[in-house]
Amino acid sequence: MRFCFAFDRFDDNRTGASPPVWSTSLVLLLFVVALVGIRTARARQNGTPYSSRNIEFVSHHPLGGTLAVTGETTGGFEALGRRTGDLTIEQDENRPFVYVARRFNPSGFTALDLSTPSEPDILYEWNFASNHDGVGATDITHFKANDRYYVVLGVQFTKDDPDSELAAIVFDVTEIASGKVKESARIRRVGGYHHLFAYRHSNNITLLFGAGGGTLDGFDVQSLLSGNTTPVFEIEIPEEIPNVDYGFHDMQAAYHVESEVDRLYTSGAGGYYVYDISDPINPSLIATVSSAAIQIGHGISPIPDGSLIVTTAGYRASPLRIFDIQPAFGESPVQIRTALGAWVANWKNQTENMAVRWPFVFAASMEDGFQVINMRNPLEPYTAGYYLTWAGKSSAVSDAATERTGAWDIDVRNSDGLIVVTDSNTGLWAFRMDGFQGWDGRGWGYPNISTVQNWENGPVHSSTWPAGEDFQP
Amino acid sequence: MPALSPVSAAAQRGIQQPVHPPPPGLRGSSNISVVSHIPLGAPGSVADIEIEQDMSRPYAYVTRRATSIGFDVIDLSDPYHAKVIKRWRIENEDLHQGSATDGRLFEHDGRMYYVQGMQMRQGGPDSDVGAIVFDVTDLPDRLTEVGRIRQSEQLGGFHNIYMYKHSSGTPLLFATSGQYAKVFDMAMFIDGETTEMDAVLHDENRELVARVPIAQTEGMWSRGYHDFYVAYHEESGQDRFYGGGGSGYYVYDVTDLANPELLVTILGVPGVSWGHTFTPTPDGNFAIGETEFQFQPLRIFDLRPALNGPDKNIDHAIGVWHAEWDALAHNHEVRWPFVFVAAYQSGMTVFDMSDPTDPFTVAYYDTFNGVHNDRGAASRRTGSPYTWNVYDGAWGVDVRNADGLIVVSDQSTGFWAFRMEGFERWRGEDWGMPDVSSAQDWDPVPVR
Repeated sequence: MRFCFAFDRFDDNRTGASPPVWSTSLVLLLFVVALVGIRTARARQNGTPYSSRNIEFVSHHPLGGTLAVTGETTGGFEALGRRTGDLTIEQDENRPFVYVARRFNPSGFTALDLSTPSEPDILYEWNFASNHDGVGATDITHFKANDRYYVVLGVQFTKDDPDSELAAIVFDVTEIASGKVKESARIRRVGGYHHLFAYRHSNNITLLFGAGGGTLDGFDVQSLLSGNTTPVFEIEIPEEIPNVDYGFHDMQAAYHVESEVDRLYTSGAGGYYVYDISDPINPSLIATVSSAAIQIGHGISPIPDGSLIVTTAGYRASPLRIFDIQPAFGESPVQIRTALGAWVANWKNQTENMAVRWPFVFAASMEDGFQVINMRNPLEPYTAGYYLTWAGKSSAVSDAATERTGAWDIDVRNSDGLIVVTDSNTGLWAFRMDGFQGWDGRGWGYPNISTVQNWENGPVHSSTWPAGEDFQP
Repeated sequence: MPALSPVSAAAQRGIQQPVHPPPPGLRGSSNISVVSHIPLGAPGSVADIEIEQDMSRPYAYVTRRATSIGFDVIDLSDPYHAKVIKRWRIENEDLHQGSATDGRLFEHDGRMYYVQGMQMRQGGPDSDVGAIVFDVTDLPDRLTEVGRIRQSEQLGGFHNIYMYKHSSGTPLLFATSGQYAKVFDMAMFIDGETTEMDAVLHDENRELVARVPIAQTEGMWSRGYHDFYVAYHEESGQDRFYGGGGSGYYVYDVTDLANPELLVTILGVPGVSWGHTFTPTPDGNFAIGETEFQFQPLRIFDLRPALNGPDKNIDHAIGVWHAEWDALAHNHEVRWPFVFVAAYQSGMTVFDMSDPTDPFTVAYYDTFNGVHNDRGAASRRTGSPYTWNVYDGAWGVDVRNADGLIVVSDQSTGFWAFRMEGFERWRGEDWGMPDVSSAQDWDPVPVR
């Protein structure tokens, strides 16, 4: 493991790896020593193992920032701040790169090389100048087009910031291994984007979706790369939600094999909405999920056959809920209101982001760290594994300074089952789970549908094995 | 439901109620003793409960709903051998559609009265009746109906009622009705016709002395209140009204009944789109809010920033408590530092909120003792497989301050009485708090 991260200020368009700073490394070494101490203390205090025995620790790379959100300068976790944000991992094992969004000044993203998963190495860093106001980099995703690889960084600055209308930046990272990264496009939308998703549509175009509390916008990637940053569609929340001044928050698109429909699963004011985007220029609403205690839907992921959605509510003391959306597609469509099943690690906490790989849900569950849920019986999902990536103090319910503590985002490399997690305090983690050596939906009797896209062939044939190919995880 | 990981099992302070079914003989924590239990009737026919505070009047009143519309009177002269001594049912019970809802007690001119809230639908008689008042002074021998409070311009009755001895000395009935908490002068109601014209006019609003509004905002979940609590605020000398409904919770100064003044709103709290029950601590600094939705904990709000600062809205809780994360709690009674909770399928539970940011369970008894989240039962009852059966079990709870007797009404299993070790009475001053709870001082001159 290499203890280096960017204390230094980086200007826009900086390229190349950050130099290791020995003093910084020393601080971080002390930090890790402290972390180990805290681990032990917590384990003793609660009588709780630090992880379940089926979770194998692969590596940890601290990525904390120099800005203490609390303003405290007492050192330790508080001084490290909570700058580690969302992440995305490339699926091609020949491109063993993971990209981590960095929140708050100096905001940007960090690319790490996982050629040796047990020894992650910072490969590249890109940061805004540190005079920006706001969260900065929010989400990060990647796609492939024209045989080139791209990363998209979602951005949200405050309305008074000069870049307040900057929503996303597209980078060509094809040659990132040699330190070459080229900015390909900038998307400007009022309010910026909080979440992004790139989707290979059944008609063989690639779409990029973005939302940040306003409309949900869809872009044709080819058009975007050729300089046209006008969305091909904009969706507004279907109906105005009283007392909620917000639009869409998050989304995931997935092909519905049975109906041969491209679906866009969204969250936002009022709950969750599913759209038919088979005609990407004319999305149509096909299902609504509205639960009484969810004013603003947070995260949403369908299972591979699209029959169930797994959702988060985005506030403390809220479980991960599983909804059966089938009744919305019956002869008499209904609005879904009641969850089929629910799960929590600790009811006082919440899950921030997740990755569904049926029957597992890999969850970044804030103070409860990395959690694995088995939802084979969706009525009774249960904890199948866990690892506490955050070992510090629990935050108070109303403590705004600490309410965003712990495991933040998660992604899974389907080819070999490598699980990567970002913790807002402690940085990047990599894990493996016993018996999970890869994921292909067909191996579970489902279409091979997940967040992972088939950039070459699209999703249409995801339920059948290629001729002559056996599933070998 | 899913088993919790070791992390969660260790996460909460205090004791942890076991998941259902509990081990044999362990329905309750070791500090709770069952005093008595009386099954009262068909599952789902039991609603709220009220106990008289005077030890010389050892009676509890249990509201009956659905298949039995009325209330039962329980005699607790010998608490270990409690018995039903009266079963009042509305006349022509088969014709009525609806339920009795909530019951409250008050004393006036040396006589004791029980007010039974009613909600009758328009398909049957008495849809204009909000409450029926009984003189219960002569129990155990008899109880007598005194009269019915009607609101013919707002049919559907009263879902919740609350009796409060106002600082002016007047016994007031607060009742949910339309977009208000309507306030009735019960002394005037009992004293009856005072002029010759009263008999002629039959004015059903004669005793309606005030309406507490609900702060109207766009797109409210409901336009009225669901429940409320009224308490004297010693520090300010105000009579304060704490209401749940609308889109959250509301605090009004009702010292001047003609001019209720909005003091605090609790709106925009994540997970709270509606307020159900709202109960302050004796000093009025904190309040507990319930939302009546599955998975929603009881939330503790610090009211002081809104009471003392320029921003009158509170948009976050400072503490949360659950008996069981995939269920929900219902009505509750605050006896600082304890909160006694009728927690539906979790039964009767008690938590300590001496640190409002970190409440923890101190006692429990599973009065329900049935399958939790029974989807089969829900499906049979509602015809829908997409409904949880969480709204069953302990409905109401009350505490007799003089000796700490705890009484609980369970929708399915009936009446229960308990004692909790070390809780042999409750007086606010014992805990450094004003002696303020739901128990009223009915002495003629208010003692403040």
